[in-house]
Amino acid sequence: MDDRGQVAFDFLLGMGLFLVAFIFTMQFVPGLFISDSTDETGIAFTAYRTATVLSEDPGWWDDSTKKGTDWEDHLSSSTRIGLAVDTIPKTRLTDTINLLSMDKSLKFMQLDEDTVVTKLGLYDNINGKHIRYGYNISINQDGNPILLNDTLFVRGEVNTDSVDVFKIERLALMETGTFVEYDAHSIYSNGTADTTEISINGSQKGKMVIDISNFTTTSPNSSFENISMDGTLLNVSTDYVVYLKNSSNGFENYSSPIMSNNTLRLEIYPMVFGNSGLVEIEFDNVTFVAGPAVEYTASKEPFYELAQMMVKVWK
Amino acid sequence: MNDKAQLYTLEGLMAAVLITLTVLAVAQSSVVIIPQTDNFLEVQMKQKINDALVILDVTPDTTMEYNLTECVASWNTSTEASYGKDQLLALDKQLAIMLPDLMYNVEFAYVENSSVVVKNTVFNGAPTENSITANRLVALSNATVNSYGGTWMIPDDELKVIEVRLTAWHV
Repeated sequence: MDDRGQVAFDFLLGMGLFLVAFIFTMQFVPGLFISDSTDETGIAFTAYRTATVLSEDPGWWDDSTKKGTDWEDHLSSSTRIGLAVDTIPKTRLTDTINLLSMDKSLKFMQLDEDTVVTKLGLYDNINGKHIRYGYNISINQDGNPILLNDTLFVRGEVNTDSVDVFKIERLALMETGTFVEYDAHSIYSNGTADTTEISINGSQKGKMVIDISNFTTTSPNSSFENISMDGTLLNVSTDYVVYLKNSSNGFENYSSPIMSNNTLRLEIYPMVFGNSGLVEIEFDNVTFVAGPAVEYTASKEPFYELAQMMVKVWK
Repeated sequence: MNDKAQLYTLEGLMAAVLITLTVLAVAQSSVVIIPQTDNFLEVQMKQKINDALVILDVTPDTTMEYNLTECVASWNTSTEASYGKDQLLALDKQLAIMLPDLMYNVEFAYVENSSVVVKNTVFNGAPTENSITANRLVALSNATVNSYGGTWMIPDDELKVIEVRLTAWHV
């Protein structure tokens, strides 16, 4: 008899038996061969959720006796981080979505890494073990992080090896400072008819935006000259910017002349003023009635600017 | 008897069983990942145009001159936009700032004489197959219409609800 094939047959039988046993073990011991990675969609959801919570929710804090949305004042008992403005901190308001509060944003920048990762859920839970995602959260204007007070709004790491980064972009209105609108007839000169004074009392957060309209012009060449703070002349473009709105267009970069029906907007950057000071605005061929300096803090309201929130998450 | 060939048949069978088992093992142990990237891009776009409408609606006058209600109120109801002929320049201008890399159209839908009327108010072209629409409701009163110069006919004691539809697509 020719038994040439026998050896291979034995091998096959043994191998087959082994495989059956192997697969049986693999199937019946759970988690033995599951790798320590999740699928990509989980990260996409995390990015989406993070961006949504940050831009639409005012956050929440809760201790045994009290609760509210002003988590930025109750850090130790904060349960959720959100940046949306809250007008009434006692209730869960959701009608202020996409309006971001400066106080909350500044506090968010100061939080420690652990708090941010845990509160925003920027980790994956594998058998009770937390594995952190890489993340980067920023609020941008023209592609660069926005300057809040004197802090750049960007958190997290920079992704160096760009593997499977999930990013989501939200549009938002960011509170960048305070705003006051003046009628040129209700602000006064300090003795020199073409100079008016505004006094700042108490600390200012963010930039100071001043709109002045209804000018008394004394020639067709009326113009804005300069701003000084407590006697020091400020630098245009590094310390402040000037816009002008004529009747037909919106605000555009300032160019003379100023007409009586124009609105002048001054945006003074936060580095310039300390806790209080006296702002002197000088014009040419514009007259103000003599009188005391008007107080800025008395009538200010928040000033919002369009910005993009970018949330990037990766493994 | 010559049973030489029987062994080869068995070998073949065993080989087949082996291959089947291997394929089975592979199929069972790994989760097949379906790419979600396309889907996610759509979510991103929907979110962005929705944000644009919300922001237009809640914006204070100091940030944007005309909010959504003011834009709708100022519309002349007898006009309809066509290519290169916008009817609401202020709305178009403000959307262009918020959605720089998208093309978009804006439609108003409202009830008139018990039937729904849909009209183009900003028209930038025919949307592609991958376009996405977001919508937001605006309530107008006669006082609002009068102060922004539109031609809506609304009785003094009534409100009119207009659905603003923003359709956007990638170029």
